[in-house]
Amino acid sequence: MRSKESLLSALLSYIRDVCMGAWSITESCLTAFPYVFRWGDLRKEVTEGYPDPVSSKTADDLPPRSRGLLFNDIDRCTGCKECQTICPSACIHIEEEPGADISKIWVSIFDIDFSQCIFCGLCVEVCQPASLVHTRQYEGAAYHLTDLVASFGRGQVTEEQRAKWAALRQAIESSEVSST
Amino acid sequence: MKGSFYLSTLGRLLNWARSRSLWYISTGTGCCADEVLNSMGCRYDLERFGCVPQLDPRQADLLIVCGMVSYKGASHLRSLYDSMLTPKYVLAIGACANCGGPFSPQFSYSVVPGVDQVIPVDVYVPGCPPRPEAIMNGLIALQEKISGQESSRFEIE
Amino acid sequence: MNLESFWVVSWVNSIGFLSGLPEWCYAAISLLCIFFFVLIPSLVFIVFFDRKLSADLQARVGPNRAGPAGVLQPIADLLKLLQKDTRSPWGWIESLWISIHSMVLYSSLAVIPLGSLALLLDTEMSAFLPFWSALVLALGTILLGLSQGTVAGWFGGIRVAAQALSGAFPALISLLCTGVRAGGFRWTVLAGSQGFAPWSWTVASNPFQAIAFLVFVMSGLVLLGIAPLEGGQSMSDIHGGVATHLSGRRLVLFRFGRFYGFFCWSVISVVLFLGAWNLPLQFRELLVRAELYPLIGFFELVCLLMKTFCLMMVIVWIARVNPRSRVDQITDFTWKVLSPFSLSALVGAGIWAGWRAFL
Repeated sequence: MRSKESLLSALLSYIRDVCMGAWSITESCLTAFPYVFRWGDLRKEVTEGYPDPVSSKTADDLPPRSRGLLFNDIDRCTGCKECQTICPSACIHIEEEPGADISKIWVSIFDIDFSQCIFCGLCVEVCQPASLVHTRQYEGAAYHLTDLVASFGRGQVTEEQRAKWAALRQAIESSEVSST
Repeated sequence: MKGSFYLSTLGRLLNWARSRSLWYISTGTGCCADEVLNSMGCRYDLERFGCVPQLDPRQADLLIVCGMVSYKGASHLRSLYDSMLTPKYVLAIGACANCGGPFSPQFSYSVVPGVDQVIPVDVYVPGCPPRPEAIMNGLIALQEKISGQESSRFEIE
Repeated sequence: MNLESFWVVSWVNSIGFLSGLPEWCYAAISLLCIFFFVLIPSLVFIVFFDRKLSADLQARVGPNRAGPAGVLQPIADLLKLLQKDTRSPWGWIESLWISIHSMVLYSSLAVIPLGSLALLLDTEMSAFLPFWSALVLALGTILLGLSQGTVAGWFGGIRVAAQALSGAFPALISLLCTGVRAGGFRWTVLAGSQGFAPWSWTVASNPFQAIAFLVFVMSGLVLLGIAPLEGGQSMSDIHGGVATHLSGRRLVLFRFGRFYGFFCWSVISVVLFLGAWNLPLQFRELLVRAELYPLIGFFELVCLLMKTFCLMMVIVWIARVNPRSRVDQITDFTWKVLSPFSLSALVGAGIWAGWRAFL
């Protein structure tokens, strides 16, 4: 086909191609031009300068169901270990023992390893006393892995305390028995 | 780092330069790579921090590991890290890169429990995946570490 | 040597204890002055400006955390790169690259036109010297690619060679077009044939010169491998081609060479086609009558640099909004479009000049 074309038409199509190339480049430049001067509403700056105070994305602007770092209110926690059972990445570690009060279990260790947590929210859903909640905080960068473990427990019980509490419990139990 | 012992003005200037110009190379093996791509884009512009994506590890200062690393891929990650030139830094993003996450050894046989088993990690960013803001927070933490002004660890309110 | 009129000489003489130095000392001092007070600030400005403009075009912010509004970003990058470890000791081809690069950079500094009073060297073939420098720079880049010892480096070197050869021809032809109009290749002749007003510039004198201007700029970008037409030297082409394994100081030198080439080519395009450093005639006469020669040099420099930065802004703008072309598309475009257009522009410019002479 090419050989049957006349020289003039080949030249014309060549020049047309060059002109079209030049026009397409000009067009793309003109399309981007308003962005330099931020003309029109669609051309507004979309960047959220995160650490700067002008940032539009604060914790209040997050979506209502966003799942941030976990927080456990240890006063309400019953130590039922539902969250530890359901956690798909085994990041919750709970140790507990009977406390001074019979109705309340002493949660000595309640560690959440955020380096392993996948923020799925299952633990929050199964939490009966609703002590475990998602905060709206998402910043948690740390220099060491151990820094990423958040401890909510009441602390280890010493031997003396344990003995004292056992005695206390026994006293209560015996008083209950005697009253009945 | 050796640089953080310099207390002179020149040393501080050099540390500042290193922290403000972290050219990064990103290994996207998981869904955290999407968040890194988001933070590269125009909404959360990582270039504000002077971070430019690089294709070649020799020109990069920062290795962003986002996603899980399998035992098969660990040697490649190690060679990628080795071909970077000092001073070099590593940012581990997401649960899988921090310590295996849902693929930790009791659940999976093929995934390295955390990239710190393979390469030294400077800053860990929790999340699955973390928000782009959290990634930037990790980046700022790394900049503070390079400048020798490490801030205290986070606290949950 | 055109030393007597150079403003650095008068400055050095006015200090007193430095007067009466040999000629080469003056030349060295002026080269250092140009290097540190014109070139380095311009390059820093270009790097910063490039990043900010590309960020603006993509609706981003760009670097804003190093210094106020990120102005110190190029300096941070430079200091960081200088701190990086080098991978291996220098090979001999790499040393050759370094010596070629630095020789070209510093020798072309002597011929780069920065104003009628800042001309260190002006010969009958001044306009050709930067052209040859660009070719030698390409040779150094080829050697750098071949010395890498990797497939990416070898192919990058070959691609740079193909690009430099294809870009050299139209650049040379369109360079001749201006000489046809001005009647010589001295910087002073080329600049003297134009005026301050845009209608007296070479590019506006006739349509063939306009074509020659476009061809000259584009073929220079191909020849030096700069942004819109970088082809084989871009980051996404076989992992950066020749620059694949460069880091630290070598990367600084490589990038510096490229930005330097970009800057110099824009300066030369402005001198050849866009009215050079010409000030308004009355203003210049006023200054001459007041014998404020350093001020003339300063204003001419400002005039030239303003035009240069405008030209560079347009080039960066085109580069940032268009997709990158492959190396084969670029050589194809250069041989099939730029070369015929430059040849027709030369013929047209010759006929136009002959017709004007006949009239």
